[in-house]
Amino acid sequence: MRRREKLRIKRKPADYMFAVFMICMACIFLAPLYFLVVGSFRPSSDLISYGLGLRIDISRMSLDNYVIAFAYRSGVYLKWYFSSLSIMLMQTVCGLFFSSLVGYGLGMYKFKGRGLLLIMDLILMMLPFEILILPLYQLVARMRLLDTRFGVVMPLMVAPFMIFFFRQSVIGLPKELADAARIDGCGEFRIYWNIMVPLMRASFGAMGIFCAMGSWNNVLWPLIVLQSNEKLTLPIGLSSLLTPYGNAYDVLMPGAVLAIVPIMIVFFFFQRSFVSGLTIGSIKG
Amino acid sequence: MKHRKKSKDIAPYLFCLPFIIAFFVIYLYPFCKTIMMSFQDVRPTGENVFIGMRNFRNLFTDHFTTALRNTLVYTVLNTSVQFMLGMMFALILNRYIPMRNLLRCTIFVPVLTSTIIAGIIFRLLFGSLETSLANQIAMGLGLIEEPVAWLTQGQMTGNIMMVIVACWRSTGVTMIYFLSALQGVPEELKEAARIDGANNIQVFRHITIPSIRPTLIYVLTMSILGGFSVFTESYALWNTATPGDIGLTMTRYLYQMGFNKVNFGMASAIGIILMIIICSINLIQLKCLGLFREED
Repeated sequence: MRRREKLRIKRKPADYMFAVFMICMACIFLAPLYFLVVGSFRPSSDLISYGLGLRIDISRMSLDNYVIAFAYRSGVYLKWYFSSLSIMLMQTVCGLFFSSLVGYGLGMYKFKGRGLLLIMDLILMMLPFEILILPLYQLVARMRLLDTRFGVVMPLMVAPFMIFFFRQSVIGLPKELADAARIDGCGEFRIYWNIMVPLMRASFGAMGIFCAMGSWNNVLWPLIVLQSNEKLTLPIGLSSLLTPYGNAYDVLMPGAVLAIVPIMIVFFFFQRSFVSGLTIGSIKG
Repeated sequence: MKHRKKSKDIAPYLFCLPFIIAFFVIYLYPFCKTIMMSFQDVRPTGENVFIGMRNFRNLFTDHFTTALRNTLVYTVLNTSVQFMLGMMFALILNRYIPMRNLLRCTIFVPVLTSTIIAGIIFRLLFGSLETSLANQIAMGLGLIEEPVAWLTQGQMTGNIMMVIVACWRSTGVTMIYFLSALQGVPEELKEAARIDGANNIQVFRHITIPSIRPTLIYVLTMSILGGFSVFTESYALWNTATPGDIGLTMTRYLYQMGFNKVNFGMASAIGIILMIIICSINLIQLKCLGLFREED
């Protein structure tokens, strides 16, 4: 296939210039990651004296930092990792489940109040989460969910944007299947769970990525809810290694590298879902 | 028969129940509470005193105007740079250049790092040491004599730092949005225009841009929304404190007021103002969109 494509494509000379330009851009974009990875092999004293720059002493590079990172404060790094992963998992699973439920209800049935719910959903999509954090903090505190991972996930379980997206995809599903199942005596939830959900697999993939990336990136709300050091999410924990009194580079650098690696692996295997999950809003289906 | 009909009628309401509950508990109640608290002196004992507009009047301090200005500058810079870079990359990578897929991936890879890690990397690259990358490059090029403490240099430098972090991380997403949109522009239209004698710029202005307008509007809206509620970029670069209010954004100020100074009343007032700004921009955008639609 690839060979046939190359023969058909007529490359103009401008294309080669653009390629050179983009290679330069790509190098600029990848450079910070290069410094991060290289820096993770340099001893902490080097980083303190010389910072992150072009001057490296290859003879002093080793895997020591990685060992130190795992042992730091009796393995708190792994606890941060676990925290981030479990919050991401909870948020994605709950988000997918509840949002698809509501999207299914809004898209599959005609009922009184449907228009009102849709308008409510659209309004909520425009509302910035930041203005709700203070009362939400009080609410979570009253529910004794402060400093718990579930407290982080709870307000984010029903996401207006995901509801909207699921509704759009449910509208395109064959309703005759549902009618046929109903005649055979199938209950409404079973229709949703056993028939329609498998049909929406692509939507679940895209929304799953969208939700997972959103959760991984979220800093403000976990920062507010989580207080004890062990429960911090990875970004917040790594950030806490940079203090005015000293920077724990030997944990920070390998910690950051190891935080990126899983997502990169997931990306390379699920590229298409990834891209569609992140760009899902702009494609008017 | 009667039982089955009843099940189908109730079902949609049951399906939507999570949303209805969430709407009241997680959205409406906190929203109203924020409005209420902005007019109150919120005491730790729980007895809130109604003080009218005093929170809002106390708000207009140096901190607030700095936060507002930083947020505005950040939003304008971030939106324009990402828009231009993303569009430029998308246009180039839409052509059949060699290694196209690989190049697309490399621009996208920074998106996979979280914003905080991006901030940490740039925080170290722009450290104040002589051997930090930024100082090495700037001194090597002869731009500066002595190493600069980039993160504590000044308001504008701080804002540019946040924009650099955000652009590095998110241009990949903008690029992918535009790329998907560009791929939806029908080739025949462009060919027809070229046959009629249009050059590349004219094709771009009159065929490509109108075709991708929904995407342009979406990216613009999301950039502006994200810009005004920026917090993570600021936290990534200055996590413990913002020295001299460098890097102070509206949301960061809200957080500081609410959780560092434990003044929920003032923080709520900041939140209300933030919301008014964001809603006004949304309304302005909707109005502009409406006008455009009528002209078409």
